[in-house]
Amino acid sequence: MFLLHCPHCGETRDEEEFSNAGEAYIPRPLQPEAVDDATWGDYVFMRRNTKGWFWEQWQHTAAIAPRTSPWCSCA
Amino acid sequence: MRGQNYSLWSLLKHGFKNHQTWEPAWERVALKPSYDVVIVGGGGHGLATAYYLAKNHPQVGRIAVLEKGYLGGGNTARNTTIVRSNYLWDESAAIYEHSLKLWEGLTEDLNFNVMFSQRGVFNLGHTLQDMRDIERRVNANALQGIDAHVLNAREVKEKIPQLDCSRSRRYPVLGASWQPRAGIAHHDAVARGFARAASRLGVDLIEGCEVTGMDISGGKIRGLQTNLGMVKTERVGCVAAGHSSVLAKMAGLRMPLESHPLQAFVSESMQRVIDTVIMSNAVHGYLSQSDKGELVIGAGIDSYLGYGQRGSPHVIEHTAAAIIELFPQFSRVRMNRQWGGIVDVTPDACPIISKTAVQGLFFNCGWGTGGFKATPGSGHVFADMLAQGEPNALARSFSVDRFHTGHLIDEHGAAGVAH
Repeated sequence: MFLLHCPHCGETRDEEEFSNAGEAYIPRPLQPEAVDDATWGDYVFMRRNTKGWFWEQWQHTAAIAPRTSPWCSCA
Repeated sequence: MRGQNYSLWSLLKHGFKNHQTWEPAWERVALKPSYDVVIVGGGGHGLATAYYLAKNHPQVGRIAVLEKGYLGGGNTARNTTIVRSNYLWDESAAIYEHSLKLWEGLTEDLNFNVMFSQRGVFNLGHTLQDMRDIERRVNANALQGIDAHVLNAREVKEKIPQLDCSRSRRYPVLGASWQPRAGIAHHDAVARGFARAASRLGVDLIEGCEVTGMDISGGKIRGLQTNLGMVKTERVGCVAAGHSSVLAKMAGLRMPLESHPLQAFVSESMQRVIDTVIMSNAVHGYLSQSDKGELVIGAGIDSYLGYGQRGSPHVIEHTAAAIIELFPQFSRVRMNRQWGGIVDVTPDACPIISKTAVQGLFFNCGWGTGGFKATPGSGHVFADMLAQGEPNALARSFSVDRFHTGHLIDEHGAAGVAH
């Protein structure tokens, strides 16, 4: 069970109040209609799925914007 | 085929000698410097691949299975052993049905009792939409030639008297889909049976051998670096479940996979109370009783990415609540053990059985939360791929290319409960 800090609420709250939104900082192609299928498929589906430290997103139920936090998947 | 056969006669023969004369089930061998085919991952799927490769394609030559821990010690030992094939789409139903047919003859084929018990699986429906989905899936199964039935609440109650089917529950049972040929098998027996059978056909099973790098030049795989030294090979099959992305990274590839912890737990041993398998998408729990008498209960996946084989306590709490919703009388059963396995989940809840951009490097992964049932089928089709370099008819739809072409096979409905 994790306790995560929500910068919007200013509180550290239980994991169950958050939704995990996966790997962070995956850049969306600037012109989606201009890229080929391989590039778009890579953006939508392919993941690094890192074993170790990486940035991931958590959305708090009461917050507006997702929060990005570092997380080690080995833990 | 080398080694001894298991039979009533051999049991008597060795019994008279106080069982001191049995040969080891599989041979322990040292890693050789080169192989024709190397399979990375010695779980059920990897061992099944090795067995079917050696059995159906002996011309491929020398085969090795590299396992970083011990054989069958990963997800093969961490699941809830449910076997069924009542999936929705033709592509996935075909491969799971192929697997179920192999399960039906597996004990004889391997000369090893895998304790496959066709006790049926019920997928409960709790809402009108659940029941519509169940009817759609059962109708699809009828067209695919897979045994499946829609049952109403009264019929479910007749078959599972312990289940609380009263309308007063928060999530009343309205009916179920039922696959009588489905069931459970023994996880360790499956791994050991395949390991023994592969070893008897001359496959080298190397435990404690972790792949740490890949030698790739000119777009071709040339060998693997391991903690036990270099292995030269021009054909590699990766069957590493939750760690597939780690292997893909060594080859400079990305896979459409996310690894999550999936938990399960078992109770203390009890008298037999449940003689079938019960799954529920809506309350999210599934339950069967092992031959030892333990209730085997499966939970959902944790939402975050993780490689730690644990998971969060609140997931267990939700699952326990779901089971008590279905079976209030189990509220005082004590739980004995809990564990987590790392499942590699694809965006469409279907596996990846595929060639890659690197020539000679193949992946069989993405079985997600329901790979155990596919063990023999997965090994069978992947062996064909490793031997021929091309997917067979059953595997063709599961290429990783589908994430670029858009031909996804959306099985989230039928694979809905993580199991």
